[in-house]
Amino acid sequence: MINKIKVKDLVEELKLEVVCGKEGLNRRITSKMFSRPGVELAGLFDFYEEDRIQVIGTKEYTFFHWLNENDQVERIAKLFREKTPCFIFSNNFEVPHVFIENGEKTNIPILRSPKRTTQLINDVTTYLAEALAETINMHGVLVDVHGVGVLIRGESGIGKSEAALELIKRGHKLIADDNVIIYEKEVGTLVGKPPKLLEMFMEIRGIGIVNVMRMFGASVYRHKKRITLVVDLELAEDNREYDRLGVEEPTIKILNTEVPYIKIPIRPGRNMASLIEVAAINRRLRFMGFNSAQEFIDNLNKYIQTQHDEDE
Amino acid sequence: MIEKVFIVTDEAGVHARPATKLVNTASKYASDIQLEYQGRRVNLKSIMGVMSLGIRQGAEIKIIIEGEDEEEAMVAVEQELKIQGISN
Repeated sequence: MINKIKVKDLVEELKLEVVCGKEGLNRRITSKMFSRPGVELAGLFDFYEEDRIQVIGTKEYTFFHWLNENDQVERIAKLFREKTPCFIFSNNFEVPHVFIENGEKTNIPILRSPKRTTQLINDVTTYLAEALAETINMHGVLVDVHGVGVLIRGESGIGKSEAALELIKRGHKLIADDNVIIYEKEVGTLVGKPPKLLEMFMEIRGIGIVNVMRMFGASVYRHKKRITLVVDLELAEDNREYDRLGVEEPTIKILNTEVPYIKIPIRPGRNMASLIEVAAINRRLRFMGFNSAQEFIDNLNKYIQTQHDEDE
Repeated sequence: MIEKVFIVTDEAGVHARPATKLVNTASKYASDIQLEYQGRRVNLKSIMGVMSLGIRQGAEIKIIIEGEDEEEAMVAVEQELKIQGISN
């Protein structure tokens, strides 16, 4: 599912000042890209990307003032098109009168930021890439365990929320309970967040809905987190084989990203929170270049080799 | 797999109480039961999932059931939607 965003979302997120065209704040932004209309200011409109956010940086601003008044009036009017979402001026530039005139006439918002052009463009593209990314919904719980974003999945009633609650009580952070919205910031980077209505809430069977932030404090809640481990909880079956060594690192594909993945069998008496905590720390160690299982196997092989040498 | 589309007629949309009843009914069946609304799919056995959608009156929702007892489950879900006045 592709999200829809409006100019006012951009204004709120990047804390932009609305110089004029307030009536147009509900205009849709559909392109992830921005445009710097320098060539257009020079009079060439063949390549004008009218459906993109138009950023007026130092270069465009300075060049605009080089133009004579006729060119200014004629060319600026041509920039305000039906599909153009908005204009953003960097460096808190004084917005020229001809821009304001056109903005008011067409109801296309003109926005302003105190940031330098490069920084502004960076913020705009980062925000657009996230806000316009394709999202999927997944049934599961997302927790931040020692900085590792762990997505806990499993059938209804298997104990995902209970495991998450125990993790929160140990000081880890909840991102989303039950329903996680997942998007790809870029290929290789998956991010999860809760649906707006569920932020900070979780359901515990037998108790009901609780607000974890009010209950355990602001430090146990995060509003989004990169997912770096997927844990599937499943009822233990005697004939199923589980990984006993853990040398290999299986992955699972979500959207276009491969994420490390483990399956943990559930049996009465197994402490799920401890297991998930250990899995997360192990993931972290691997990320830092240590592989406990490999280390053990290397030791074993070395030992066997020395025994073998002594015998000869 | 079976699917069925319903229109939400309740003025208050799918609010908390009927959502709970609906989830409890769905939880009685072994089949995988999903609810789709505006392109988002959630597990109908999950109360938070269902409520996260904030479904309003007039909305079109789709129930998707897959599993051994899918036929019975669909009958039960449909009946519950009627009893709760969510949809007729």
